[in-house]
Amino acid sequence: MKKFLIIAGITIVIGLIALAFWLANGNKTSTTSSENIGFPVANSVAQKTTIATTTNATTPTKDFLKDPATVKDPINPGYYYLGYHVNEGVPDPTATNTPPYIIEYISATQYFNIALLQEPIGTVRKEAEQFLMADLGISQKQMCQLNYMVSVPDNVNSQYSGINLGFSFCPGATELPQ
Amino acid sequence: MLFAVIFIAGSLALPVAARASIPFFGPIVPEAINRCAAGWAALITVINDIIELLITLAIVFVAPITIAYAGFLLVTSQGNSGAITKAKGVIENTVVGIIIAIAAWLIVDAVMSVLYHPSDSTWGTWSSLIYGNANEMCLVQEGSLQTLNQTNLNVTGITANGNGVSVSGKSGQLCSDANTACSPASLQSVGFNSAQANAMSCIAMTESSGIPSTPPYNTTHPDSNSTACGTFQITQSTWNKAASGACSNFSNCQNAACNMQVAQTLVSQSGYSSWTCANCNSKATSCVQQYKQYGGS
Repeated sequence: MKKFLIIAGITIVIGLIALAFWLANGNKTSTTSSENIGFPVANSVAQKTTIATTTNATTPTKDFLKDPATVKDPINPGYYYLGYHVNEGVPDPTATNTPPYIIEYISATQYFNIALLQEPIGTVRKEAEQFLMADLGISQKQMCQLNYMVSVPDNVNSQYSGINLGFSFCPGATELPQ
Repeated sequence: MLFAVIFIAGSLALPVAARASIPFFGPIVPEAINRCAAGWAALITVINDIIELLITLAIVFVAPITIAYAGFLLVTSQGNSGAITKAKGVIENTVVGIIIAIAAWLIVDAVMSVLYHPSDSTWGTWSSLIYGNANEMCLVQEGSLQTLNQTNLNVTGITANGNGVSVSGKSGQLCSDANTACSPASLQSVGFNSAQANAMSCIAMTESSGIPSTPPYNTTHPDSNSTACGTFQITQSTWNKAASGACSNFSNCQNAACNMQVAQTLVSQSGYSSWTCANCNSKATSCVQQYKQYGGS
């Protein structure tokens, strides 16, 4: 019984310490979320859809257009933004002025256009890839078959601007500084 | 006394355990591994998942069975002090076992949290603290280091055979034909000739990556005076000189069709000078030069 009480006592002390850390962490998290940084999270969407690939086939994906992280472009019909998006003159609390990347989807042509908008572009490209892969629920191989471009504007990186950089894991991708 | 200790310990452990995905019922192998070659983070995650599953099995399945067994012993003891003692021993060992299992996991997790990221606002389980970067879930494939492969080039007006697009020189790619905001075909539909459409498509790639919603530059960079906006990054003063009709107001600069229309007017009025000017776009001039030879001015 004595052994049991010692172990129970140690557990309670550890629990109190862990609880203190957890509460401290919870406060920090709530502060961050109140700042509304617009960080996108790819939610799991049960429904499936299909997307055309460059191999003239289709690949099954999550129905990402129904994902809360996907927003319609209020100005350009048929354009969607997956995750980060900028303000377009319409009140939008989820928009951000300084997105690290933008993933645009044009429904008419089933085309994904990824713009890297912050340095280091190698790291930002990986973040965009991870987000898109989770949002669509597809493999790297399927990602490489999408109709897509990854590029960087001249005002972000003049060395790598103007070319399709590709997804980092796809054949032919441009290696970028991390 | 026993129930009080279990209740207190359980209450304190619950928030932490919940954050760390206990109870855990799988899948042991992360979904991401099914999409790529498993990396260091994937291995650590699998190990963590196995540990969490064992703890879950101990708490959810093994402990209730042993406690039920102890209860059975108590009910059937009929006052036999030996059987009662044995039943109490089973209960005590079960509770101690659960506490040790959770405590050991919590101790490791708490110590590693403090050692690895003492000031980090985002706690993770010990496994995520070790690899620290979800990108390590997949191994980088060798293919990613190969020379740029132009699989996406279906260019209107030229053949994408490598001669016309100067990819090896890392310049001059056009917007995809699927990008209706700046593809050569879209640009020709608003009045550009073939060469102009190719040159402007190339310029759009360097200006905005072909994204029409690109907002005025000074809204994303408050320290700048530039109002460059939309697919072709046209400034407000330039816009006001060339825009007409429904597009006349600069608030339409994020409209893909208006941006193409205004760009077409600008090119017809003053060529490419809005983009090839000094300090405007380091690659606009090469875009113009590159596509001059493909049928036009």
